[in-house]
Amino acid sequence: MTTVIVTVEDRVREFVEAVSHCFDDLREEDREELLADLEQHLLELAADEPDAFEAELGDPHRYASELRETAGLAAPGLKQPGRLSRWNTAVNDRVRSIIDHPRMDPVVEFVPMLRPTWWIVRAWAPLVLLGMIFGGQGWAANVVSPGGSLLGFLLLVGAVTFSVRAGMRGLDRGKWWRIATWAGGAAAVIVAMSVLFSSSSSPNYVEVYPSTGGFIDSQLLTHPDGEGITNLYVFDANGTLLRDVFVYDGAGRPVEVGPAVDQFFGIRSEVAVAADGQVLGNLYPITQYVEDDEGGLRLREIPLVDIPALTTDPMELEPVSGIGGAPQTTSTPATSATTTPAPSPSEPTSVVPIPDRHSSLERSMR
Amino acid sequence: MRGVELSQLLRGVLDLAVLAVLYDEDAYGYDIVRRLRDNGIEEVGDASVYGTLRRLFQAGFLSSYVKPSDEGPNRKYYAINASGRDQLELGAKEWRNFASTIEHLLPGEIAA
Repeated sequence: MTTVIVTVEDRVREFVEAVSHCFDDLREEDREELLADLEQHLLELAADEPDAFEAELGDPHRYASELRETAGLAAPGLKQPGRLSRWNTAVNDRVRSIIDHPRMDPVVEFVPMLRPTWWIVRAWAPLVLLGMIFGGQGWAANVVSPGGSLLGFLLLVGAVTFSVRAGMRGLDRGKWWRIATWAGGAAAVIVAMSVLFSSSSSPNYVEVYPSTGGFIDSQLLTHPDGEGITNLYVFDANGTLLRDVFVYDGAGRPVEVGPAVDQFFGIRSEVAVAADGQVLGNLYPITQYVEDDEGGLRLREIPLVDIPALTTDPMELEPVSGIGGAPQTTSTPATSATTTPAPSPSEPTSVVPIPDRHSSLERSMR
Repeated sequence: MRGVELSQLLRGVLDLAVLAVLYDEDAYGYDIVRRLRDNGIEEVGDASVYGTLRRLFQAGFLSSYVKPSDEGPNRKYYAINASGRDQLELGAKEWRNFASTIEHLLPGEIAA
């Protein structure tokens, strides 16, 4: 016959293990926290009060349930809510306490009347958001405007119908319905924020042209027919747009086109400034923006022009000399033309409008 | 009154009772159970005190240290810290306020 000697330590260890199994539903950190000193505690108990120790060790489930109850953790069988869930509950409680205040009664009565509007907004906003993400603002505008694309219109009708019908039947249609309504709501917030953001952060780069005093009607350069010249685009014989070109007249004076804010043409210019702060009004092409129908600004496109082909060798031009203090240029269109063969006359070079790029020179941003 | 049957009343004041016991002197787990019982709170179980100690410790009201013992295992002592004393003061105030309110509410003819 073998006598098995079970030490107090063994019994405590066994008991703690049994108790720990009752905490399987708890988060690991809560479980560890509860069990951290239990073994030590029970050994103290065994040493101090053997009778009490025997009584306590009778039922690990009862011990575990009493322990977790007093430690402020959920009752057995209930999953301890996560941090997000607890935070959500706390926010809900706070919101509830505000809503329940008697002074909020008129608001509480009024808000439900706005529900149908909300049903439409939450259906419309995700489409606009999709449009903004995948198709730019124009697609989004198409979806919401009556003259938009048929697909956009049908999508909008479908989404609104679904949202309103679902809203009228009741506010909770299961998990996926809740996710969909949350997504719609979130999209509405994002769209609202982006609209606010884009309108408040419209670039304010308008530089009032110094030599004209900013008068709209004081057009400096005009065509013989009287139409104002708002910008100069210089192309080489290959049809390549030359950028950062300084233009001077025969007397060596800078040639400047006109006011930076041209309200008649709806054009706004971003005039270049030199490193020392000097305004470079004769540096072309000037980066310009035009007002669109919605009051926003978009980059002015480079005009579509046909560059005539050169049929004869271009004249050899004298290199520009510093007449009347005009600055020296490092290259001229003439030298560029002589080094490159001209296209045949039957194929005029087309210049495709491309977005302007920022000059290597600093643009004045105000 | 043990375990899930632990009365709501006792559970509500167990924090206060444990902090009060530790206010007098540092103590280890079972020492606290004994002192509570000596002071008339006999219903309290070992697991309840241990659970309360873990929660108070977690809340930052207690500090702890291990002290070797001549007889038996080392003892883990709990001590009330400044934050725990503030909590005790607050809890005592609330308790007295609550007790006097209930006392005032109770019909006078019912004997104490």
